Amino acid sequence: MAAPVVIKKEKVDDPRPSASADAGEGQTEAEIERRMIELMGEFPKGINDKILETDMPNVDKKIKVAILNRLLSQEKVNIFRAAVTKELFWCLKQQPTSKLKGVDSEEKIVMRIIEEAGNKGIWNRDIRTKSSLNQTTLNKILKALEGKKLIKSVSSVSAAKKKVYMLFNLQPDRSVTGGSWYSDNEFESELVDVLNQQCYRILQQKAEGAKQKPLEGPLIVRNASFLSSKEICQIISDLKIVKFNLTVEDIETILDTLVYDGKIEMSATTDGYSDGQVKTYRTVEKLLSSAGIVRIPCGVCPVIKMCGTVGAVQPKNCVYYDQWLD
Amino acid sequence: MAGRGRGRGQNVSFNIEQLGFGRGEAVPVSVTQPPPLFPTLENRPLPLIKDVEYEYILVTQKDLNTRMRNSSFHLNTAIEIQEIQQIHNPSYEKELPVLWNRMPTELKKSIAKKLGIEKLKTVKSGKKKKIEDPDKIFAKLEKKEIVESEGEGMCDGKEDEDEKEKSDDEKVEVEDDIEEEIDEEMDEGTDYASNYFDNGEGYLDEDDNLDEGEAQF
Amino acid sequence: MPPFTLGHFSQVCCQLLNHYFGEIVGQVGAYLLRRGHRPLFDIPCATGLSIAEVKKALAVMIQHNLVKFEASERNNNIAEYSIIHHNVYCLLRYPKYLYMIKRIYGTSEEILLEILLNLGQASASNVIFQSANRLKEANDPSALHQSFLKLAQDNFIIRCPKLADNANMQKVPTLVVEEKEKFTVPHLEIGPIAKLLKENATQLGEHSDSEVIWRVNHERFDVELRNVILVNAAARRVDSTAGELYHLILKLWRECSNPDSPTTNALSFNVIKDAVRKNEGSSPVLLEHFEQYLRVLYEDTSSLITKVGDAGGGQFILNYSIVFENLACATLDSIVLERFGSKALRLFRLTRIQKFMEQDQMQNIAMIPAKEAKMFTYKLLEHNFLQIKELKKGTSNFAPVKSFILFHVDLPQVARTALEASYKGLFNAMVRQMHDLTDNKRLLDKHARLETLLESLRGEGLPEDELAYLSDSMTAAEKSLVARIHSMNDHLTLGQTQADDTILILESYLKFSSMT
Repeated sequence: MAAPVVIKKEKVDDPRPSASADAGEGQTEAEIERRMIELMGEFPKGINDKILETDMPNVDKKIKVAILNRLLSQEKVNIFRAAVTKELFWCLKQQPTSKLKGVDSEEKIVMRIIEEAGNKGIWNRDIRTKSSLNQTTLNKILKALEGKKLIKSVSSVSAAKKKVYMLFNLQPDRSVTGGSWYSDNEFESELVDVLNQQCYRILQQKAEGAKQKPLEGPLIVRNASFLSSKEICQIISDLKIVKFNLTVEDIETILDTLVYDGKIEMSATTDGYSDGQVKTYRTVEKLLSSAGIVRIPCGVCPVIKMCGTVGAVQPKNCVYYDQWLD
Repeated sequence: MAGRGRGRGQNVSFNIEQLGFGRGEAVPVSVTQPPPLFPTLENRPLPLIKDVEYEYILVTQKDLNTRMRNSSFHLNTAIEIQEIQQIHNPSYEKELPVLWNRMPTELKKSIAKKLGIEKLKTVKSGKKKKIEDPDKIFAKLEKKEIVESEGEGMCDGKEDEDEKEKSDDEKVEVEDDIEEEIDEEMDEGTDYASNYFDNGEGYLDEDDNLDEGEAQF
Repeated sequence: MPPFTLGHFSQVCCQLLNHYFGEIVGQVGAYLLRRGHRPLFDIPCATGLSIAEVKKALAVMIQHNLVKFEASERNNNIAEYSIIHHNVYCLLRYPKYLYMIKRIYGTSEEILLEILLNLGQASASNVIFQSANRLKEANDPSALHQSFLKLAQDNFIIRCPKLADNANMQKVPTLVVEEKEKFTVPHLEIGPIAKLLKENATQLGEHSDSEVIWRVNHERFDVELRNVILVNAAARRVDSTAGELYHLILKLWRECSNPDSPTTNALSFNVIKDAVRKNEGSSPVLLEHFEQYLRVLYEDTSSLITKVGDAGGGQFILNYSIVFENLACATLDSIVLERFGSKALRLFRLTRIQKFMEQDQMQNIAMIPAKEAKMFTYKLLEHNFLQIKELKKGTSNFAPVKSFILFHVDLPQVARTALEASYKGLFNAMVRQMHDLTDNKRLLDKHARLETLLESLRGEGLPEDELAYLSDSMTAAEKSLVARIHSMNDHLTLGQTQADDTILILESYLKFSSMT
């Protein structure tokens, strides 16, 4: 007996909710997106799953994920993982991206190149090489970007006329500004000289103090004359001669100049506490008070090469000898 | 010509700007004389150290100077000897207190210790003397030979020398002028032939003189 | 012969010869300085002097150890004469020698040395005799004999080479050095000397040791002069007690080492300690802190003492080349400082310590503004304190090759330049001194004659008012001028002596650095 075949109509699944389709409590995707961005604005440090759950509990997780992914690809938001909890957070991407909306692609390229140069900045010509743009175009772009306060130019200390470009908010690196000893790209030699003298005086005082106890023996006296660069830095900072913070490295460059003056010597020892070496300094006396030859005029004479037994410059008519013998 | 370079370059006959000076920049002051021969000294010499040692040295140096100058070793030139003779002692003589036995004999040959005044005489009347009587010369030569051979026999101590000298003085005084001439013509004890022709061995013989070849002023 | 064709050192030598021995000796000396080994007959025609004058000059110079002779290779009846450069230069140092002897020993030794310097070469008896004569009342020949022994023992005087056995048959006597007897004083007969002195004799006459001839030992005095500089350096570096210790150690080193070697032999800690304890003059401070002082000295960067081992508590030597390199650097530093200023000094020391530097590095590390740094670098280069080395970089055949300019300090070269300049300065001071004296010769002579006259008359008891009257034959203006000339003369003498200190250091550095 043949039974009649009954073809059942399958129930078709609901199609995936489209952007305009109702979801949850009747919110559109655009509305959800907007709300997310609002939240991210309220929590500039980022929102996580929990916040989203609290705010829009009825929204399907899949929808949230989709929206977030779209925002990511549009580069409107950033995603990061918290260090401790390893949770995922989303936050709004910073100004430049949003502001970049009004900027065209060439400018974007230039911006990226400048951004990559970090706080050392990059020279006009190098931008040209990397972007392969021509000079006039580039200059126009740079001017525009500067106008928008996205980038700035900083004159480099190595060449007064050379300018490097970097992102507006960045602090220029020491190699550009010259470090603590440069202000407005000018080397502050007076400051250096003052610090030089000051450091020397500090070390001299230490040595004097050490000599007050000769009964303990010369070795003790010598060892008591040393000061480390850290200690010297502290003393100088306490004197408040300079307005900015002097680092130990700064002081060490000054102390090096004193070593090269022949007034102090350095001895590097390893400190039990910190890694690496501790540099200590003390004053030293020169081996001679002065060379004998500089006590006669010939030793400092500027025209000695012309001097002879015949000619205009001779010992017998030498003006310097006349002055010296007076 | 006069019209060009108005305003800025009124005194010059050309346009200052052509030389590369922008308007308003100072023209370097023209140098009208050579730099001073003795420019002012920026760094004066350090003061001399005057301590006990140097005081002593000053005194000693002066003392030494006087002694050396008055010693027999200080050889006076002809003019100086003449002066001294005029001022001090007409029979001024100096013996040379040298250890002759330690020296090459060629240095001992001239027994005439006095130079200067005798030479001066020679120079003055040299020409005349040359035309002297040959017999006289011969006699003097003989005498000289005797004196010399006696001289060669002396090997030690300057005392002998001195004594000899005092007795020979008279002879020597007379013979001196001739002796000088003979000395100059004949180097006793030297091989005339081998010395006349210098075979050039000593030409670049300056190994000892290290100071040559440096910058001379 | 005009002196301007000689190098500066030779010019100084000529001046000294002229000054002490007269122009004739000066001219003969100049000729030999210029020409080296020369036989007798070359000299008169070259100098325009008579042969008798030349012979005398040579005799004087040989007597004073300034010239040596050798039989000529071509003909050993003639001698070839040559200058002993160092000895001529040391004429300048005679007052320093006397000061050192006086300070180390006393007056008798000082007189002995002075007599020996005056005579050039002499036998011991003769020196003692003449010294006794000089001392007049206080003469005691046996005490002088002892003093003579001391000088010989410490090697300040040395025996001249003796005549070879057949010397009196040679035209040019050969002289033989007796190595073992160099400082041995032969037996002297003091008795006859004392007798002659009582008789107020002026000449010694025959004596037993008349063939044993002595002269001053320049090398030993050089060592002493160097030691003074070293001890002063130690005292400056640490303190005077350290100087005292160092002085003692130098003495120990000298006793155990060869004077010609660039480093001393090693002394052990215990030996030094013993010596310090036994030394009568050791100060209490030194005795108490001896170990510390030694340690401070050998740890000092000046290398005054170098530790070479640990045996016996520590082994210590003195390495002359290192120490004198440091002293030479200190000298050059002083010259650069006084000539060009402290910024230039910093650049000079920086380049010297770091060996090779580029201009940019120099101005950065030295922290001197670029413009100033470049100016000083140029000045140092111009005066030969810095040297340039160019390194070419890049191998491309097309583009121009980039080259690095590196600055460095070639220390021996800089030292040589400074030494030449010092000789020149010394010579100039001498010329100026001579010039001032000859210009005012008449006045000075007049003053000297007046003074001697006044002295002798005062001795004869002439009343003061008459002396004053005589003294007025020279006006006050003249007298003050004479005083001024004397003071200028003193200034120049001191200047020369102090310039000599620099010369000693630089010469020693060059000598020791060429040994290693």
